[in-house]
Amino acid sequence: MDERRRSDEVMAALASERGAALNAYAYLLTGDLRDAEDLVQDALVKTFIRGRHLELSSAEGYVRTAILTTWIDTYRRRRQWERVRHLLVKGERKDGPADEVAARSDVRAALGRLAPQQRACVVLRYYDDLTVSEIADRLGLADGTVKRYLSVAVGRLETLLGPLSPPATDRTILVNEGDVR
Amino acid sequence: MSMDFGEALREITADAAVATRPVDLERAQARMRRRRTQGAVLSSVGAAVGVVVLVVAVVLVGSRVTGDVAPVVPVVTDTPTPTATSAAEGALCGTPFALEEMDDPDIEVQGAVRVGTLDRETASFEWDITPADTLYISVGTTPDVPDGPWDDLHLSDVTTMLVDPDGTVAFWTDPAKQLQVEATDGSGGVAVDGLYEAVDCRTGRALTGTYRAYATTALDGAGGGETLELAPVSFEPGSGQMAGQWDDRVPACGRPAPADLLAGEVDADFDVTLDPGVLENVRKGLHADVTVTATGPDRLTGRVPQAFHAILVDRSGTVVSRLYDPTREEFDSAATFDVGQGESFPAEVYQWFASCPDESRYGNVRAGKYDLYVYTVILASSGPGTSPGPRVAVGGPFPVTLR
Repeated sequence: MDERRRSDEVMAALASERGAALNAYAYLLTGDLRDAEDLVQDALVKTFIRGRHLELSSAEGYVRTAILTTWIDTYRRRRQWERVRHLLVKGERKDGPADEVAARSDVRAALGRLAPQQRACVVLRYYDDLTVSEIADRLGLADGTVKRYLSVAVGRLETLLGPLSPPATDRTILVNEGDVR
Repeated sequence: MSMDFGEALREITADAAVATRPVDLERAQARMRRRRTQGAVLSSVGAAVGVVVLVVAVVLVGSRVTGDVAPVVPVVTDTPTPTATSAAEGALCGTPFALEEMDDPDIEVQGAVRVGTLDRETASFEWDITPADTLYISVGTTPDVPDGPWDDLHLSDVTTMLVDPDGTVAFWTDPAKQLQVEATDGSGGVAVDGLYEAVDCRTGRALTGTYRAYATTALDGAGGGETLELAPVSFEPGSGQMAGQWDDRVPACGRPAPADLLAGEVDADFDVTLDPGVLENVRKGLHADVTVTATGPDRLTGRVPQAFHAILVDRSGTVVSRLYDPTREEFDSAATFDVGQGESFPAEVYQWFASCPDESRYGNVRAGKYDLYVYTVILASSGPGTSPGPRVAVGGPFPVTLR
Protein backbone atom coordinates (compact mmCIF):
# COMPACT_ATOMS: atom_id res chain seq x y z
CA MET A 1 0.00 0.00 0.00
CA ASP A 2 2.93 2.30 0.75
CA GLU A 3 4.21 1.67 -2.75
CA ARG A 4 0.85 2.66 -4.19
CA ARG A 5 0.82 5.82 -2.09
CA ARG A 6 4.30 6.73 -3.26
CA SER A 7 3.21 6.11 -6.82
CA ASP A 8 0.22 8.40 -6.37
CA GLU A 9 2.48 11.06 -4.92
CA VAL A 10 4.73 10.85 -7.96
CA MET A 11 1.71 11.23 -10.20
CA ALA A 12 0.55 14.27 -8.26
CA ALA A 13 3.98 15.85 -8.45
CA LEU A 14 4.28 15.09 -12.14
CA ALA A 15 0.84 16.53 -12.86
CA SER A 16 1.68 19.65 -10.92
CA GLU A 17 5.16 20.26 -12.28
CA ARG A 18 4.92 18.90 -15.81
CA GLY A 19 1.22 18.88 -16.53
CA ALA A 20 1.36 21.80 -18.94
CA ALA A 21 4.23 20.23 -20.84
CA LEU A 22 2.42 16.90 -21.07
CA ASN A 23 -0.75 18.57 -22.28
CA ALA A 24 1.26 20.47 -24.88
CA TYR A 25 2.87 17.26 -26.07
CA ALA A 26 -0.51 15.58 -26.36
CA TYR A 27 -1.78 18.60 -28.25
CA LEU A 28 0.70 17.90 -31.04
CA LEU A 29 -1.15 14.65 -31.58
CA THR A 30 -4.75 15.67 -31.01
CA GLY A 31 -4.76 19.23 -32.35
CA ASP A 32 -7.37 20.09 -29.73
CA LEU A 33 -6.49 21.32 -26.27
CA ARG A 34 -9.36 19.66 -24.49
CA ASP A 35 -8.82 16.37 -26.25
CA ALA A 36 -5.16 16.69 -25.27
CA GLU A 37 -6.11 17.13 -21.64
CA ASP A 38 -8.28 14.03 -21.83
CA LEU A 39 -5.46 12.11 -23.48
CA VAL A 40 -3.07 13.08 -20.68
CA GLN A 41 -5.67 12.00 -18.13
CA ASP A 42 -5.87 8.59 -19.78
CA ALA A 43 -2.10 8.30 -19.94
CA LEU A 44 -1.65 9.20 -16.27
CA VAL A 45 -4.21 6.61 -15.21
CA LYS A 46 -2.62 3.96 -17.40
CA THR A 47 0.87 4.71 -16.12
CA PHE A 48 0.08 4.82 -12.43
CA ILE A 49 -2.87 2.44 -12.12
CA ARG A 50 -0.67 -0.45 -11.02
CA GLY A 51 0.91 1.59 -8.27
CA ARG A 52 4.35 0.67 -9.51
CA HIS A 53 7.24 2.64 -8.19
CA LEU A 54 8.55 5.25 -10.59
CA GLU A 55 11.02 8.01 -9.92
CA LEU A 56 9.73 11.44 -10.78
CA SER A 57 12.65 11.91 -13.13
CA SER A 58 11.67 8.91 -15.25
CA ALA A 59 7.90 9.02 -14.85
CA GLU A 60 7.45 11.70 -17.48
CA GLY A 61 8.98 9.45 -20.11
CA TYR A 62 6.54 6.68 -19.21
CA VAL A 63 3.61 9.05 -19.40
CA ARG A 64 4.73 10.41 -22.76
CA THR A 65 4.93 6.87 -24.07
CA ALA A 66 1.48 6.17 -22.70
CA ILE A 67 0.22 9.31 -24.45
CA LEU A 68 1.53 7.98 -27.75
CA THR A 69 0.29 4.44 -27.32
CA THR A 70 -3.11 5.57 -26.13
CA TRP A 71 -3.43 7.86 -29.12
CA ILE A 72 -2.41 5.11 -31.52
CA ASP A 73 -4.60 2.55 -29.77
CA THR A 74 -7.62 4.78 -30.06
CA TYR A 75 -6.86 5.30 -33.72
CA ARG A 76 -6.50 1.58 -34.29
CA ARG A 77 -9.87 0.92 -32.75
CA ARG A 78 -11.49 3.52 -34.96
CA ARG A 79 -9.66 2.21 -37.98
CA GLN A 80 -10.98 -1.29 -37.41
CA TRP A 81 -14.51 0.01 -37.50
CA GLU A 82 -13.85 2.06 -40.60
CA ARG A 83 -12.29 -0.97 -42.26
CA VAL A 84 -15.33 -3.14 -41.90
CA ARG A 85 -17.98 -0.49 -42.09
CA HIS A 86 -18.29 -0.69 -45.85
CA LEU A 87 -19.21 -4.32 -45.51
CA LEU A 88 -22.20 -3.39 -43.44
CA VAL A 89 -23.57 -0.17 -44.90
CA LYS A 90 -23.98 1.58 -48.19
CA GLY A 91 -21.06 3.65 -49.36
CA GLU A 92 -22.96 6.84 -48.95
CA ARG A 93 -20.82 8.45 -46.35
CA LYS A 94 -18.54 11.25 -47.47
CA ASP A 95 -15.22 12.03 -45.84
CA GLY A 96 -15.33 14.91 -43.47
CA PRO A 97 -13.34 18.07 -43.75
CA ALA A 98 -9.90 18.27 -42.21
CA ASP A 99 -9.72 18.84 -38.50
CA GLU A 100 -10.96 22.37 -38.22
CA VAL A 101 -9.92 22.63 -34.63
CA ALA A 102 -6.28 22.40 -35.59
CA ALA A 103 -6.51 24.90 -38.40
CA ARG A 104 -5.31 27.94 -36.49
CA SER A 105 -2.05 28.15 -38.36
CA ASP A 106 -0.48 26.61 -41.39
CA VAL A 107 1.51 24.12 -39.38
CA ARG A 108 -1.43 23.11 -37.23
CA ALA A 109 -3.58 22.78 -40.31
CA ALA A 110 -0.93 20.71 -42.04
CA LEU A 111 -0.62 18.42 -39.03
CA GLY A 112 -4.35 18.03 -39.09
CA ARG A 113 -4.16 16.61 -42.59
CA LEU A 114 -2.04 13.68 -41.47
CA ALA A 115 -3.36 10.31 -40.43
CA PRO A 116 -2.81 9.61 -36.73
CA GLN A 117 -0.04 7.10 -37.37
CA GLN A 118 1.73 9.57 -39.64
CA ARG A 119 1.23 12.34 -37.14
CA ALA A 120 2.72 10.30 -34.32
CA CYS A 121 5.73 9.47 -36.47
CA VAL A 122 6.22 13.12 -37.38
CA VAL A 123 6.04 14.23 -33.75
CA LEU A 124 8.54 11.57 -32.69
CA ARG A 125 10.83 12.43 -35.57
CA TYR A 126 10.77 16.20 -35.54
CA TYR A 127 9.84 16.98 -31.95
CA ASP A 128 11.45 14.16 -30.02
CA ASP A 129 14.29 13.86 -32.52
CA LEU A 130 14.10 10.09 -32.54
CA THR A 131 15.61 7.97 -35.27
CA VAL A 132 13.52 5.77 -37.50
CA SER A 133 14.51 2.70 -35.51
CA GLU A 134 13.63 4.38 -32.24
CA ILE A 135 10.26 5.43 -33.60
CA ALA A 136 9.66 1.89 -34.78
CA ASP A 137 10.48 0.59 -31.32
CA ARG A 138 8.28 3.14 -29.63
CA LEU A 139 5.25 2.47 -31.77
CA GLY A 140 5.72 -1.24 -32.28
CA LEU A 141 6.11 -0.88 -36.02
CA ALA A 142 8.64 -2.15 -38.53
CA ASP A 143 11.34 0.28 -39.62
CA GLY A 144 10.02 0.14 -43.15
CA THR A 145 6.54 1.04 -41.99
CA VAL A 146 7.85 4.07 -40.14
CA LYS A 147 9.81 5.16 -43.20
CA ARG A 148 6.69 4.86 -45.29
CA TYR A 149 4.62 6.85 -42.84
CA LEU A 150 7.29 9.53 -42.64
CA SER A 151 7.72 9.65 -46.37
CA VAL A 152 4.03 10.13 -46.99
CA ALA A 153 3.68 12.58 -44.12
CA VAL A 154 6.65 14.71 -45.03
CA GLY A 155 5.54 14.74 -48.65
CA ARG A 156 2.14 15.99 -47.61
CA LEU A 157 3.60 18.55 -45.22
CA GLU A 158 5.98 19.87 -47.84
CA THR A 159 3.12 20.20 -50.29
CA LEU A 160 1.40 22.44 -47.77
CA LEU A 161 4.32 24.16 -46.08
CA GLY A 162 7.23 24.03 -48.51
CA PRO A 163 10.51 22.19 -47.96
CA LEU A 164 11.26 21.02 -44.42
CA SER A 165 14.76 21.06 -43.02
CA PRO A 166 15.94 17.64 -41.86
CA PRO A 167 15.46 16.80 -38.19
CA ALA A 168 18.30 16.45 -35.76
CA THR A 169 18.74 12.72 -35.88
CA ASP A 170 21.40 12.09 -33.31
CA ARG A 171 19.68 13.29 -30.20
CA THR A 172 17.53 10.79 -28.39
CA ILE A 173 16.64 12.89 -25.36
CA LEU A 174 12.99 12.49 -24.60
CA VAL A 175 12.65 14.97 -21.79
CA ASN A 176 14.59 18.18 -22.00
CA GLU A 177 14.18 20.08 -18.79
CA GLY A 178 13.80 23.78 -19.12
CA ASP A 179 11.51 23.88 -22.08
CA VAL A 180 7.92 22.86 -22.45
CA ARG A 181 8.73 19.36 -23.58
CA MET B 1 14.45 28.29 -47.79
CA SER B 2 13.38 25.28 -45.80
CA MET B 3 11.24 25.28 -42.69
CA ASP B 4 12.61 24.12 -39.35
CA PHE B 5 9.63 21.92 -38.65
CA GLY B 6 10.94 20.82 -35.27
CA GLU B 7 11.15 24.43 -34.18
CA ALA B 8 7.63 25.03 -35.47
CA LEU B 9 6.39 22.13 -33.35
CA ARG B 10 8.19 23.51 -30.30
CA GLU B 11 6.51 26.88 -30.83
CA ILE B 12 3.14 25.17 -31.02
CA THR B 13 3.76 23.30 -27.78
CA ALA B 14 4.92 26.52 -26.10
CA ASP B 15 1.61 28.15 -27.03
CA ALA B 16 -0.33 25.08 -25.99
CA ALA B 17 1.45 24.87 -22.64
CA VAL B 18 0.25 28.39 -21.86
CA ALA B 19 -3.28 27.81 -23.10
CA THR B 20 -3.89 24.46 -21.46
CA ARG B 21 -5.55 24.02 -18.12
CA PRO B 22 -3.81 22.39 -15.17
CA VAL B 23 -4.13 18.63 -15.04
CA ASP B 24 -7.30 17.75 -13.15
CA LEU B 25 -5.55 15.61 -10.58
CA GLU B 26 -8.69 14.94 -8.60
CA ARG B 27 -10.35 13.46 -11.66
CA ALA B 28 -7.36 11.28 -12.46
CA GLN B 29 -7.19 10.03 -8.89
CA ALA B 30 -10.92 9.30 -8.85
CA ARG B 31 -10.63 7.28 -12.04
CA MET B 32 -7.72 5.31 -10.61
CA ARG B 33 -9.63 4.57 -7.43
CA ARG B 34 -12.55 3.26 -9.44
CA ARG B 35 -10.38 1.05 -11.58
CA ARG B 36 -8.34 -0.27 -8.69
CA THR B 37 -11.43 -1.36 -6.84
CA GLN B 38 -12.83 -2.96 -9.96
CA GLY B 39 -11.04 -6.23 -9.41
CA ALA B 40 -12.42 -6.67 -5.96
CA VAL B 41 -16.02 -5.77 -6.49
CA LEU B 42 -17.50 -9.20 -6.98
CA SER B 43 -14.90 -11.52 -5.61
CA SER B 44 -16.01 -11.19 -2.04
CA VAL B 45 -18.28 -13.70 -0.41
CA GLY B 46 -20.85 -10.97 0.04
CA ALA B 47 -20.89 -10.31 -3.65
CA ALA B 48 -21.30 -13.97 -4.37
CA VAL B 49 -24.35 -14.01 -2.18
CA GLY B 50 -25.63 -11.00 -4.07
CA VAL B 51 -25.23 -12.81 -7.34
CA VAL B 52 -27.29 -15.70 -6.07
CA VAL B 53 -29.95 -13.26 -4.92
CA LEU B 54 -30.08 -11.67 -8.35
CA VAL B 55 -30.27 -14.90 -10.28
CA VAL B 56 -32.97 -16.32 -8.07
CA ALA B 57 -34.82 -13.02 -8.20
CA VAL B 58 -34.83 -12.65 -11.94
CA VAL B 59 -35.88 -16.22 -12.49
CA LEU B 60 -38.68 -15.96 -10.00
CA VAL B 61 -39.84 -12.53 -11.00
CA GLY B 62 -40.49 -13.25 -14.58
CA SER B 63 -39.74 -15.27 -17.60
CA ARG B 64 -40.31 -12.45 -20.06
CA VAL B 65 -37.59 -12.33 -22.68
CA THR B 66 -37.82 -9.27 -24.84
CA GLY B 67 -36.51 -8.63 -28.29
CA ASP B 68 -36.74 -10.55 -31.47
CA VAL B 69 -33.26 -11.93 -31.81
CA ALA B 70 -32.93 -15.57 -32.57
CA PRO B 71 -29.54 -16.58 -31.23
CA VAL B 72 -27.64 -19.24 -33.05
CA VAL B 73 -27.05 -22.31 -30.95
CA PRO B 74 -23.49 -22.21 -29.65
CA VAL B 75 -21.42 -25.14 -30.77
CA VAL B 76 -20.19 -27.25 -27.90
CA THR B 77 -18.35 -30.43 -28.61
CA ASP B 78 -16.95 -33.19 -26.46
CA THR B 79 -17.46 -33.41 -22.78
CA PRO B 80 -17.61 -30.03 -21.05
CA THR B 81 -14.59 -29.34 -18.95
CA PRO B 82 -15.16 -27.03 -16.00
CA THR B 83 -12.78 -24.15 -15.85
CA ALA B 84 -11.24 -22.54 -12.83
CA THR B 85 -13.86 -20.42 -11.17
CA SER B 86 -13.86 -17.46 -8.88
CA ALA B 87 -16.02 -17.41 -5.79
CA ALA B 88 -18.91 -15.74 -7.56
CA GLU B 89 -18.75 -17.59 -10.84
CA GLY B 90 -20.04 -20.75 -9.31
CA ALA B 91 -23.23 -18.85 -8.61
CA LEU B 92 -23.72 -17.11 -11.93
CA CYS B 93 -22.10 -19.20 -14.65
CA GLY B 94 -24.52 -21.66 -16.19
CA THR B 95 -27.48 -20.36 -14.23
CA PRO B 96 -30.76 -19.45 -15.97
CA PHE B 97 -31.33 -15.79 -16.65
CA ALA B 98 -34.58 -14.11 -17.59
CA LEU B 99 -34.68 -10.39 -18.07
CA GLU B 100 -36.63 -8.21 -15.70
CA GLU B 101 -35.86 -4.73 -16.90
CA MET B 102 -35.24 -2.21 -14.17
CA ASP B 103 -34.60 1.51 -14.50
CA ASP B 104 -32.47 3.25 -11.91
CA PRO B 105 -33.52 6.90 -11.53
CA ASP B 106 -29.96 8.04 -10.92
CA ILE B 107 -27.91 6.21 -13.52
CA GLU B 108 -28.03 5.11 -17.12
CA VAL B 109 -26.38 1.91 -18.30
CA GLN B 110 -24.94 2.18 -21.79
CA GLY B 111 -22.52 0.28 -23.94
CA ALA B 112 -21.94 -2.79 -26.02
CA VAL B 113 -20.00 -6.02 -26.11
CA ARG B 114 -17.56 -6.21 -28.98
CA VAL B 115 -15.75 -9.22 -30.35
CA GLY B 116 -12.25 -9.07 -31.72
CA THR B 117 -8.66 -9.99 -31.06
CA LEU B 118 -6.04 -8.77 -28.63
CA ASP B 119 -2.61 -7.98 -29.99
CA ARG B 120 -0.50 -8.81 -26.97
CA GLU B 121 2.58 -7.23 -28.49
CA THR B 122 1.01 -3.79 -28.49
CA ALA B 123 -1.74 -4.50 -25.94
CA SER B 124 -4.30 -3.18 -28.41
CA PHE B 125 -7.71 -4.63 -29.06
CA GLU B 126 -8.89 -4.80 -32.65
CA TRP B 127 -12.56 -5.44 -33.04
CA ASP B 128 -14.53 -7.28 -35.66
CA ILE B 129 -11.53 -9.45 -36.50
CA THR B 130 -12.39 -13.08 -37.05
CA PRO B 131 -11.87 -15.57 -35.67
CA ALA B 132 -12.47 -13.55 -32.55
CA ASP B 133 -10.91 -14.70 -29.32
CA THR B 134 -11.46 -11.68 -27.12
CA LEU B 135 -14.44 -9.77 -25.79
CA TYR B 136 -14.31 -6.06 -25.10
CA ILE B 137 -17.02 -5.22 -22.59
CA SER B 138 -17.56 -1.52 -23.06
CA VAL B 139 -20.56 -1.28 -20.79
CA GLY B 140 -20.86 1.09 -17.88
CA THR B 141 -22.90 3.63 -16.05
CA THR B 142 -23.30 7.34 -16.66
CA PRO B 143 -25.53 9.86 -14.92
CA ASP B 144 -29.20 9.42 -15.73
CA VAL B 145 -29.23 12.91 -17.18
CA PRO B 146 -25.95 13.98 -18.78
CA ASP B 147 -24.50 16.90 -16.93
CA GLY B 148 -20.97 17.57 -18.06
CA PRO B 149 -17.85 16.57 -19.95
CA TRP B 150 -17.52 12.93 -20.59
CA ASP B 151 -15.67 10.79 -18.13
CA ASP B 152 -15.23 7.08 -18.68
CA LEU B 153 -18.24 4.90 -18.48
CA HIS B 154 -18.01 3.49 -14.97
CA LEU B 155 -17.33 -0.07 -16.00
CA SER B 156 -16.92 -1.46 -12.53
CA ASP B 157 -20.50 -0.69 -11.63
CA VAL B 158 -21.97 -3.10 -14.16
CA THR B 159 -22.04 -6.85 -14.60
CA THR B 160 -22.55 -7.98 -18.18
CA MET B 161 -23.70 -11.44 -19.18
CA LEU B 162 -23.97 -13.40 -22.41
CA VAL B 163 -26.85 -15.83 -22.38
CA ASP B 164 -27.22 -18.76 -24.75
CA PRO B 165 -30.47 -19.76 -26.51
CA ASP B 166 -31.33 -22.02 -23.61
CA GLY B 167 -31.39 -18.99 -21.38
CA THR B 168 -28.35 -19.85 -19.30
CA VAL B 169 -25.34 -17.66 -18.64
CA ALA B 170 -22.45 -18.66 -20.88
CA PHE B 171 -20.23 -15.74 -19.97
CA TRP B 172 -20.20 -12.99 -17.41
CA THR B 173 -17.77 -10.27 -16.50
CA ASP B 174 -16.05 -11.96 -13.63
CA PRO B 175 -13.54 -9.36 -12.44
CA ALA B 176 -11.08 -12.14 -11.67
CA LYS B 177 -11.08 -13.09 -15.36
CA GLN B 178 -10.46 -9.66 -16.75
CA LEU B 179 -7.34 -9.58 -18.88
CA GLN B 180 -4.56 -7.41 -17.54
CA VAL B 181 -2.20 -7.10 -20.46
CA GLU B 182 0.92 -5.04 -20.74
CA ALA B 183 2.46 -4.65 -24.18
CA THR B 184 5.38 -6.96 -24.82
CA ASP B 185 7.00 -4.50 -27.20
CA GLY B 186 8.45 -2.44 -24.37
CA SER B 187 6.24 0.53 -25.11
CA GLY B 188 4.67 0.42 -21.67
CA GLY B 189 1.22 0.24 -23.22
CA VAL B 190 -1.51 -1.27 -21.11
CA ALA B 191 -4.64 -2.83 -22.59
CA VAL B 192 -7.92 -1.10 -22.00
CA ASP B 193 -10.15 -2.22 -19.19
CA GLY B 194 -12.93 -4.60 -20.06
CA LEU B 195 -11.11 -7.29 -22.06
CA TYR B 196 -11.92 -10.95 -21.50
CA GLU B 197 -11.15 -14.19 -23.25
CA ALA B 198 -14.15 -15.16 -25.38
CA VAL B 199 -14.64 -18.42 -23.55
CA ASP B 200 -17.76 -20.20 -22.40
CA CYS B 201 -17.48 -20.22 -18.62
CA ARG B 202 -19.27 -23.57 -18.44
CA THR B 203 -17.04 -25.49 -20.78
CA GLY B 204 -13.85 -23.53 -21.20
CA ARG B 205 -14.39 -23.63 -24.96
CA ALA B 206 -14.53 -20.71 -27.34
CA LEU B 207 -17.82 -18.86 -27.61
CA THR B 208 -19.47 -19.27 -30.99
CA GLY B 209 -22.74 -18.26 -32.59
CA THR B 210 -24.89 -15.47 -31.23
CA TYR B 211 -25.83 -14.64 -27.67
CA ARG B 212 -28.18 -12.27 -25.97
CA ALA B 213 -26.37 -9.73 -23.82
CA TYR B 214 -27.60 -8.28 -20.56
CA ALA B 215 -26.16 -5.69 -18.23
CA THR B 216 -27.13 -5.06 -14.65
CA THR B 217 -26.09 -3.00 -11.67
CA ALA B 218 -28.42 -4.94 -9.39
CA LEU B 219 -26.00 -7.45 -7.95
CA ASP B 220 -25.91 -6.42 -4.34
CA GLY B 221 -29.25 -7.94 -3.52
CA ALA B 222 -30.37 -4.67 -1.99
CA GLY B 223 -33.01 -3.93 -4.62
CA GLY B 224 -32.99 -1.14 -7.14
CA GLY B 225 -30.36 -0.71 -9.78
CA GLU B 226 -30.71 -0.95 -13.53
CA THR B 227 -30.98 -4.04 -15.69
CA LEU B 228 -31.40 -4.06 -19.44
CA GLU B 229 -30.73 -6.04 -22.59
CA LEU B 230 -27.91 -4.91 -24.86
CA ALA B 231 -27.47 -5.53 -28.56
CA PRO B 232 -26.83 -9.23 -29.18
CA VAL B 233 -23.28 -10.46 -29.54
CA SER B 234 -22.36 -12.48 -32.57
CA PHE B 235 -19.21 -14.28 -33.50
CA GLU B 236 -20.32 -14.56 -37.11
CA PRO B 237 -18.16 -12.67 -39.65
CA GLY B 238 -19.50 -9.25 -40.63
CA SER B 239 -21.90 -8.96 -37.75
CA GLY B 240 -20.28 -6.01 -36.04
CA GLN B 241 -21.88 -3.07 -34.38
CA MET B 242 -23.84 -0.79 -36.65
CA ALA B 243 -24.05 2.47 -34.73
CA GLY B 244 -21.52 5.14 -35.52
CA GLN B 245 -20.91 8.85 -35.81
CA TRP B 246 -21.83 10.61 -39.02
CA ASP B 247 -20.31 14.05 -38.65
CA ASP B 248 -20.88 15.01 -42.25
CA ARG B 249 -24.58 14.30 -42.07
CA VAL B 250 -25.46 16.35 -39.02
CA PRO B 251 -25.46 20.12 -38.37
CA ALA B 252 -22.05 21.39 -37.32
CA CYS B 253 -21.60 23.26 -34.06
CA GLY B 254 -20.79 26.94 -34.44
CA ARG B 255 -22.29 27.22 -37.90
CA PRO B 256 -25.66 28.40 -39.10
CA ALA B 257 -28.24 25.68 -38.87
CA PRO B 258 -29.23 24.31 -42.28
CA ALA B 259 -31.95 26.42 -43.88
CA ASP B 260 -34.18 23.41 -44.48
CA LEU B 261 -33.95 22.51 -40.81
CA LEU B 262 -34.99 25.99 -39.70
CA ALA B 263 -37.76 25.99 -42.27
CA GLY B 264 -39.00 22.59 -41.11
CA GLU B 265 -38.38 21.15 -44.54
CA VAL B 266 -35.71 18.53 -43.89
CA ASP B 267 -36.18 15.53 -46.12
CA ALA B 268 -35.97 13.14 -43.19
CA ASP B 269 -36.85 9.47 -43.15
CA PHE B 270 -38.15 9.67 -39.60
CA ASP B 271 -40.07 12.31 -37.69
CA VAL B 272 -39.33 12.57 -33.97
CA THR B 273 -41.74 13.90 -31.39
CA LEU B 274 -41.46 14.32 -27.65
CA ASP B 275 -43.56 15.47 -24.75
CA PRO B 276 -42.83 19.21 -24.31
CA GLY B 277 -43.10 18.66 -20.58
CA VAL B 278 -39.69 17.01 -20.55
CA LEU B 279 -38.18 20.34 -21.57
CA GLU B 280 -39.43 22.30 -18.58
CA ASN B 281 -36.35 21.91 -16.40
CA VAL B 282 -33.39 21.34 -18.65
CA ARG B 283 -29.97 22.24 -17.38
CA LYS B 284 -26.89 20.70 -18.96
CA GLY B 285 -28.32 17.80 -20.86
CA LEU B 286 -31.46 15.90 -21.78
CA HIS B 287 -32.59 12.33 -21.26
CA ALA B 288 -36.13 11.83 -22.49
CA ASP B 289 -38.39 9.39 -24.27
CA VAL B 290 -39.24 10.18 -27.87
CA THR B 291 -41.46 8.67 -30.52
CA VAL B 292 -39.98 8.02 -33.93
CA THR B 293 -42.29 7.77 -36.94
CA ALA B 294 -41.37 6.67 -40.44
CA THR B 295 -42.26 9.27 -43.07
CA GLY B 296 -41.22 7.72 -46.36
CA PRO B 297 -42.87 5.10 -48.54
CA ASP B 298 -40.26 2.41 -47.85
CA ARG B 299 -40.59 -0.07 -45.07
CA LEU B 300 -37.50 0.37 -42.91
CA THR B 301 -35.87 -2.07 -40.53
CA GLY B 302 -32.91 -1.75 -38.24
CA ARG B 303 -31.67 -1.56 -34.72
CA VAL B 304 -32.64 1.34 -32.47
CA PRO B 305 -29.62 3.34 -31.26
CA GLN B 306 -29.19 3.53 -27.51
CA ALA B 307 -29.05 7.32 -27.70
CA PHE B 308 -30.78 9.69 -30.06
CA HIS B 309 -29.10 13.07 -30.31
CA ALA B 310 -30.21 16.68 -30.16
CA ILE B 311 -28.77 20.10 -30.87
CA LEU B 312 -29.50 23.58 -29.64
CA VAL B 313 -29.94 26.50 -32.03
CA ASP B 314 -29.83 30.07 -30.77
CA ARG B 315 -31.99 32.99 -31.84
CA SER B 316 -29.62 33.89 -34.65
CA GLY B 317 -30.01 30.45 -36.15
CA THR B 318 -26.57 29.22 -35.13
CA VAL B 319 -25.98 25.73 -33.82
CA VAL B 320 -24.49 26.20 -30.36
CA SER B 321 -24.07 22.64 -29.14
CA ARG B 322 -22.18 19.61 -30.34
CA LEU B 323 -24.23 16.69 -31.51
CA TYR B 324 -21.51 14.05 -31.20
CA ASP B 325 -18.98 13.82 -28.45
CA PRO B 326 -15.86 12.63 -30.29
CA THR B 327 -14.59 10.88 -27.19
CA ARG B 328 -17.73 8.85 -26.81
CA GLU B 329 -18.93 5.89 -28.82
CA GLU B 330 -22.36 5.25 -30.26
CA PHE B 331 -24.10 2.02 -29.34
CA ASP B 332 -26.96 -0.03 -30.70
CA SER B 333 -29.68 -1.14 -28.32
CA ALA B 334 -31.33 -4.54 -28.17
CA ALA B 335 -34.51 -3.09 -29.66
CA THR B 336 -35.24 -3.30 -33.38
CA PHE B 337 -37.67 -1.44 -35.60
CA ASP B 338 -39.66 -2.54 -38.62
CA VAL B 339 -41.88 0.33 -39.68
CA GLY B 340 -43.77 1.57 -42.70
CA GLN B 341 -45.02 5.06 -43.40
CA GLY B 342 -46.79 6.47 -40.34
CA GLU B 343 -45.70 3.67 -38.03
CA SER B 344 -43.73 4.46 -34.92
CA PHE B 345 -41.28 3.04 -32.41
CA PRO B 346 -39.98 4.37 -29.08
CA ALA B 347 -36.47 5.64 -28.46
CA GLU B 348 -34.57 7.84 -26.02
CA VAL B 349 -32.69 11.09 -26.44
CA TYR B 350 -29.54 11.16 -24.33
CA GLN B 351 -27.56 14.32 -25.00
CA TRP B 352 -25.08 16.48 -23.14
CA PHE B 353 -25.22 20.02 -24.49
CA ALA B 354 -21.51 20.61 -25.04
CA SER B 355 -20.26 23.92 -26.32
CA CYS B 356 -18.54 24.10 -29.68
CA PRO B 357 -14.91 22.95 -29.71
CA ASP B 358 -13.55 26.14 -31.21
CA GLU B 359 -14.73 28.31 -28.37
CA SER B 360 -12.24 29.39 -25.75
CA ARG B 361 -14.16 27.51 -23.12
CA TYR B 362 -15.10 23.88 -23.17
CA GLY B 363 -18.11 22.82 -21.28
CA ASN B 364 -21.81 23.37 -21.02
CA VAL B 365 -23.75 25.59 -23.32
CA ARG B 366 -24.57 28.74 -21.40
CA ALA B 367 -28.02 29.19 -19.95
CA GLY B 368 -30.58 30.83 -22.18
CA LYS B 369 -33.41 30.27 -24.60
CA TYR B 370 -32.88 28.00 -27.57
CA ASP B 371 -34.66 25.86 -30.07
CA LEU B 372 -33.95 22.17 -29.59
CA TYR B 373 -33.91 19.84 -32.57
CA VAL B 374 -33.68 16.08 -32.22
CA TYR B 375 -31.31 15.02 -34.98
CA THR B 376 -30.01 11.49 -35.38
CA VAL B 377 -28.58 9.30 -38.09
CA ILE B 378 -29.95 5.76 -37.97
CA LEU B 379 -28.84 2.83 -40.05
CA ALA B 380 -31.82 1.19 -41.70
CA SER B 381 -32.53 -1.31 -44.46
CA SER B 382 -35.35 -0.85 -46.90
CA GLY B 383 -35.88 -4.50 -47.70
CA PRO B 384 -34.65 -8.06 -47.28
CA GLY B 385 -31.12 -8.46 -48.49
CA THR B 386 -30.59 -4.73 -48.67
CA SER B 387 -27.60 -3.44 -46.80
CA PRO B 388 -28.45 -0.78 -44.25
CA GLY B 389 -27.77 2.83 -45.05
CA PRO B 390 -27.82 6.02 -43.00
CA ARG B 391 -31.25 7.59 -42.55
CA VAL B 392 -32.00 10.85 -40.84
CA ALA B 393 -34.46 11.30 -37.97
CA VAL B 394 -35.44 14.86 -37.15
CA GLY B 395 -37.76 16.51 -34.65
CA GLY B 396 -38.36 20.09 -33.66
CA PRO B 397 -38.01 22.91 -33.13
CA PHE B 398 -38.87 22.51 -29.47
CA PRO B 399 -38.46 25.75 -27.49
CA VAL B 400 -36.30 25.17 -24.43
CA THR B 401 -34.84 27.34 -21.71
CA LEU B 402 -31.50 26.08 -20.48
CA ARG B 403 -31.25 26.90 -16.77
